[in-house]
Amino acid sequence: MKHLPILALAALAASSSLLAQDPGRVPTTRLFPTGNVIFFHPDGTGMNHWFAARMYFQGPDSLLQWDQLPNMAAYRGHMNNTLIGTSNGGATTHAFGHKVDGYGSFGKDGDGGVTPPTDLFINSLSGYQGSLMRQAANAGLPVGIVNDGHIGEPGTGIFLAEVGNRGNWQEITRQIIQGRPGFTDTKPWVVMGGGEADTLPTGSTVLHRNHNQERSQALNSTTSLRTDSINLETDWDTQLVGGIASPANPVVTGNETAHIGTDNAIVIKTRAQFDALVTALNTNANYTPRVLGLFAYQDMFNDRNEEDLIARGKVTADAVNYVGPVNNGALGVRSKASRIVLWGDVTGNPGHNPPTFAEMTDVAIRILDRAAKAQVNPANRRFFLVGEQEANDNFGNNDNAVGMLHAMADTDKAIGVARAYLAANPRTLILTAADSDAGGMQIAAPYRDNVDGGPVETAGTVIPGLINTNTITSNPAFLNLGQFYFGFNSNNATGSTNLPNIADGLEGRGSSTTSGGTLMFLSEADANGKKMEFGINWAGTGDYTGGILSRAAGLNAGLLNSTFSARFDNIDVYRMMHVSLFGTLLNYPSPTTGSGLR
Amino acid sequence: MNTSAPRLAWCGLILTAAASSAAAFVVTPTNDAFDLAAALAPAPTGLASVTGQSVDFGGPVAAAQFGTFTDGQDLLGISSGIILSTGNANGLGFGATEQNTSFGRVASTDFTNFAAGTFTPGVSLNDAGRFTVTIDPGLESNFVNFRLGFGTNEVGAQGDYVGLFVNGAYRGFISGSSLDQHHPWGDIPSTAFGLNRVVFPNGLATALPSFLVSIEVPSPGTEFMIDFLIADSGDDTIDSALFLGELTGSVTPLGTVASAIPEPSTFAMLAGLAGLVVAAGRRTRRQV
Repeated sequence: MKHLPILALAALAASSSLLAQDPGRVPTTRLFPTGNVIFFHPDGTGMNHWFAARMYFQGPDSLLQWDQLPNMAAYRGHMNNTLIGTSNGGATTHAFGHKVDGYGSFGKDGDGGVTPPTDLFINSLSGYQGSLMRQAANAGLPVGIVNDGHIGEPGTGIFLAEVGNRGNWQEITRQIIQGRPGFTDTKPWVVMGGGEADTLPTGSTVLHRNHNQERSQALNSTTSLRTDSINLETDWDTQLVGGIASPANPVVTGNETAHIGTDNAIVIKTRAQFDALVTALNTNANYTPRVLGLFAYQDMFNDRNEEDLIARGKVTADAVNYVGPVNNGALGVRSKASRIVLWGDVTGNPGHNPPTFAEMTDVAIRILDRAAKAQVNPANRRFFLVGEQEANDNFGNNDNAVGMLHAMADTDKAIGVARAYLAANPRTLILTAADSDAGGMQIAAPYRDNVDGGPVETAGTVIPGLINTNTITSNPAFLNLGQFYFGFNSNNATGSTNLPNIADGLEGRGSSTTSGGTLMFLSEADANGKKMEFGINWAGTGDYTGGILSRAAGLNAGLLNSTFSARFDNIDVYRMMHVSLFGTLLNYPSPTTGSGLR
Repeated sequence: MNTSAPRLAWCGLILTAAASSAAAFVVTPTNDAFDLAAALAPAPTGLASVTGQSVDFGGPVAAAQFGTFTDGQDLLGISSGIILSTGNANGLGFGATEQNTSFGRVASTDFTNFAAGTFTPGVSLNDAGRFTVTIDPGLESNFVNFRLGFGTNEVGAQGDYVGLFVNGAYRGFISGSSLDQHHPWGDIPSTAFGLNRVVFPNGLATALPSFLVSIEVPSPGTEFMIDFLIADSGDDTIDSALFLGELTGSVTPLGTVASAIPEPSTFAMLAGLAGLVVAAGRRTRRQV
């Protein structure tokens, strides 16, 4: 008892120090449990995107899978030289743990595309000569990437490639599959996404056509974009697996189907092949193939706005319940399925109906789980998966609201897949982080709510079903119908007209004719059974920041609400993943610790 | 403290085990916080979740100072749980011969700062260890309860150090005694003792060498952290260990409530009163 006064005072001092304002920046010797890491990069998504997706697909009172990730922190994505996170700079920081030049960095610091080039190799915050994924893979952990864009999109590509600029698709793709120059890198176990155009030797014909007219190539071109003689598909298909060479199957595009289920290294490109892989995984619990999935020439999603896609004939009759886009629909019959083809080629082509991001995530987790549990070294029985739904970002950058909403739904399903895995495998961290808010979208509600099944407005006012995006005054397609309309004027400076902000409904902004509108989105029912309409206003087509929330569940997820409760930035994303893979929470870098230059 | 007295220490465990013909007390070394939490709360009744957040040894650790154990009912009054030690978890001398391990590791500043509330300034913390567990109490429980035992190879009044923290604040004030300096249950001078000799609190012998501790949930429905800490003091040789297990939640406390130590104002008042008493005594003596 004689020590108590001393104890009391010391305890108070300790308590105050422990309640430090920023515990995430305090160096620590703590050791954390390790396990699987599933990192979702739902690119370009702020809280606004998630709110819109919740309203549209589940109802405003419901719970998304994302909502059920219990731990969260506000995300800060600024770079070394710009306040808004770029896809390439942000991903470099996520993968390496250093803030870098935001404009050109791609697994390095600086831009190889400027004169003179400024790109320099960097080590990870851990000191490893490479990204966190390279460190994990080379330590013997199974790793994988999934993207509904090109596999070399920064959010996934940077975890496996180090080049001077994101435009170097050929070399990014080569490094993902073959490894980095000067290193003996272990191949990733699973790589799925788009980007077939960069996998076959120059002059080769690829399976998928360039139906989105990307990379400045001719519409529907099927010519490989590689300028060298490297055949990355053969390289993948014939790799040694467990010291045994995979059968040298014909690598003629699309000819792998017969080997799915028996071959330990496969290249798949179509829905049928993907489904065959799923069947093989269901049939044989030990089947753990190394999978390279190439489901599109460039991106799996159709990287354009609604009007453009419709003009290009990317519509389908599948969505039979759709009644838009003109002002003659009745509420309650608007199908959630858009008639616009948002992912894949139109029917009749190999790229039609590609696997969704959630489906690819499911397969990737199943394979990586098997691979991890089969590791001879017990210390390596964990995996690292990075999944990026690039469509969230690019549809946002195209101001394509319906595309963005469907991408969000797909991401949410993928999170559900991961949550189900977590439930059975608690030594798993699920972490989400976007680096920007694409398009700066906000939800616009009608001036007078137009509730499905509710009272009908009196004559002369709005009749249910007539609410239309061309009644949003800030919409370039604004049409003054003399009715109740959305009162969202934008920067209406003296003497000027409203500055336009695109306001999207089911098929875009519409046009300023009575028949050229596009119906509002109709939410799912709220807790009282009411469905309500909304539109999507876009701040622009760029990447913005300010409302990004990282969420997590499972292993070490509590760090978001404790250690990182005051501050969680893009470097901390790396630190969270590193601590869950390797057990140590690395100190936050400081000017004296350097920028990681190799 | 390092003393020159012979130490039979942990053999008490063996005596107890032998007398009861109990199943062998089995320790599985691990420093993995995830596994430790699973063993601490194998069936966390009344709680939403119990998650092992981290372990901290105040520096690089070369061995598994922590571990899980089973078949500890007869020995400890804890059927299964975890051991947090200042030596090798599986080599503390549970056999007939005392075993100690010196890692020669002085705790880092970070570690020492965290533990500052439980230790006398100037006393070094050696071969220390800390286990942090995150508890989501849900809305069903106002208290968490767990069994706690202590064992040591130290002999005499001086012992090693134990800390119990909730959200970083010290919560080691139990039944009027502080669960830290010179742990009262080890305060049996010149006696070789083991867990079966544990006396706590305040000299009250217990039937089993562990007791049930209860901690009030800081904010119902809100996740919080408990830190368990142990360290050699003065020396880095003579080992001690905490035994913990059977963590559950409850509406009312099931055991002895561990609370914060009294506020400084209380001490100031007590000190003032003591001063008055002393002064009065002096005045009385002068009058004589």
